[in-house]
Amino acid sequence: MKAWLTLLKKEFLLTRSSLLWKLLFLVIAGLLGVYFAYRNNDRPGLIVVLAVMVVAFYVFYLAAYMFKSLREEWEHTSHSWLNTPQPGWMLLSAKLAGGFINLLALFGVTCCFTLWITWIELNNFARPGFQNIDLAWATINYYGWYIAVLIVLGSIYTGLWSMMISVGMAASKSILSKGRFFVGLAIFLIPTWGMGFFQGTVVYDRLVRWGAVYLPQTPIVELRNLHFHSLYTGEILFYAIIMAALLFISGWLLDHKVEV
Amino acid sequence: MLKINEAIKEDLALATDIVRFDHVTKRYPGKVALRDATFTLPRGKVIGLIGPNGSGKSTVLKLMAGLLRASGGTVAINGKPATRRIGGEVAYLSELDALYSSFTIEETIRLHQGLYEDFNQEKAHEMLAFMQLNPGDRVKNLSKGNRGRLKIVLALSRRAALILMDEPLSGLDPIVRESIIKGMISFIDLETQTVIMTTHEVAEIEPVLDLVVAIRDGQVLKVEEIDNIRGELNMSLVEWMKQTLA
Amino acid sequence: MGEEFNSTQPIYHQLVQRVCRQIVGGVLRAGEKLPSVRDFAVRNSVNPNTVQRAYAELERLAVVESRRGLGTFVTEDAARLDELREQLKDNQITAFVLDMKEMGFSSEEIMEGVEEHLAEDK
Repeated sequence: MKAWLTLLKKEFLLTRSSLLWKLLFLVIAGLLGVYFAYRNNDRPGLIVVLAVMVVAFYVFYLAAYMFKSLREEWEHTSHSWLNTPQPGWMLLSAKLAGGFINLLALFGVTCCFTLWITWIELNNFARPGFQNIDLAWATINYYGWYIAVLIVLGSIYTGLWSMMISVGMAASKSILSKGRFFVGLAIFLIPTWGMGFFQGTVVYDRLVRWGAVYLPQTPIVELRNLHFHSLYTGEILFYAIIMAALLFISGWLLDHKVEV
Repeated sequence: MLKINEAIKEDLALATDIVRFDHVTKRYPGKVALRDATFTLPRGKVIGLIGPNGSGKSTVLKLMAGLLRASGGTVAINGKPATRRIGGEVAYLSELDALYSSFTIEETIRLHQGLYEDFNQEKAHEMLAFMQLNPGDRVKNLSKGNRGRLKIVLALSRRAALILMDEPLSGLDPIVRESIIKGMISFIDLETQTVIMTTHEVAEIEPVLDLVVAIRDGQVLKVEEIDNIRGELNMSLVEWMKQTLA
Repeated sequence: MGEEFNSTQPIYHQLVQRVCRQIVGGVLRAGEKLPSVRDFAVRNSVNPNTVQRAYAELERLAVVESRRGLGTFVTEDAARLDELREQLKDNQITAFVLDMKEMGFSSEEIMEGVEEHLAEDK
């Protein structure tokens, strides 16, 4: 435990100053967004759309973080990073956790500004036709949490795949002198094309569609008839197992196949 | 009776040998870095691994550190096979600048303290004082010489049974080299530790060595005691090296 | 004490000689404590094992003695010290004469040269 915390502290220390700069940048950008939202009279929702696009991008944040963090280790500090008694999954999960802390901070600030901008735009464009600001605001607040959690989980998911690609490429270095890129590409195709294909099959259906999860009924009466994608326990388990597998396979590769 | 003797001999060998290479080969696509290397190294000695550039010295060290895996044969450290996680028993000082440059010296020490059970923080601070390093300095701001000194501090602050140093003196000016050598002598505990180092500064390091391993073109040519070289063969290490590696 | 070592004799042997010279020369006095193995090793930039060997050899020669828990001390045996003094003198002279003879000097020339040199010294 002490070792994992030490590793986490190290990961955090590595990115601490960069995080502060990024937060500063976000605050400035956020304030600018707020300013433009106030002044936005002709194009309803423009700033909100931009802000929401930024929010959506966070689903790739951990993928970028892991790739960059691992590249730094491969290129500069691999001898230190790997000459330790801790197992590979511990080294990698600490890295992911460090990224997670960064994610929460940056995502949190971005969401706050997005909500603020949304409120401003909602108020700006309140018209007799556009019924109920309160309804719109409540909807956003209600589903916003689910979407935020999904984005964060999605980020962890992409982060783990990014880690798998990076470690896979490093592991193949001892076997192939060239063509590591193709190894990375092959691994990349699994969560993208491969998963898409698999999820269309009957096997997947049988495997996953059980244990339907019922989200608490929305307090907003008007929305009760809207039907979103239902959530199954099987599906949650499916992704959880994949994520755990990614961590352990990468850890195993780090311990047995990677050479530096 | 013979079998029992062999078993005892084997046990004794394991007890006294810190490193054992058994027909170790290391192959890369297109190149053989180490060819059928078989040798054992005893505990409690300062051992020099010498040979020309590209001879395989770093490869041998990295195999001992678990950073590389043998293509063939076995590498045993302290009786155990050398895996990536042997870092708990082996301290490795890389030839590269493998330090986290945004950290301060103190942060680097605390990192090692948290990762290695055998890390001695008091000794580390003692060594820092000896080397005249300031814990508050950031690694990226250190001169090359001071980075070299820090690496030695980190390696020798561990009570690991095996300390590996890859070119600890390379590229450093004579004053720094002397402080590193003196630091090494001051802080190494040869009753419980063994040091294996690669170096080009053969003449400078000779007084510190007990044993020398000559390697060339991926082949371990000889393992010899320094005392034998001077005493029986009547030559200095440099002369022996020229002769053996010719 | 940062002199280089010559390249023909084992280093521990040269350390033994250094200590003997220091004793005879008065730098190290009878009964004086020698530096610890580690200190000596650091000062001379040599392996502690080598110092250990040198001290062991000095003890074997009865030039020093080790006292359990206290360290290694120069012997107080005046007879031994005198003997050592004579031995070193003898070694030096023998080496010198051998060297000169190898160069072709006769015994008379050697004697003359030494006397001349010592006369100038005053």
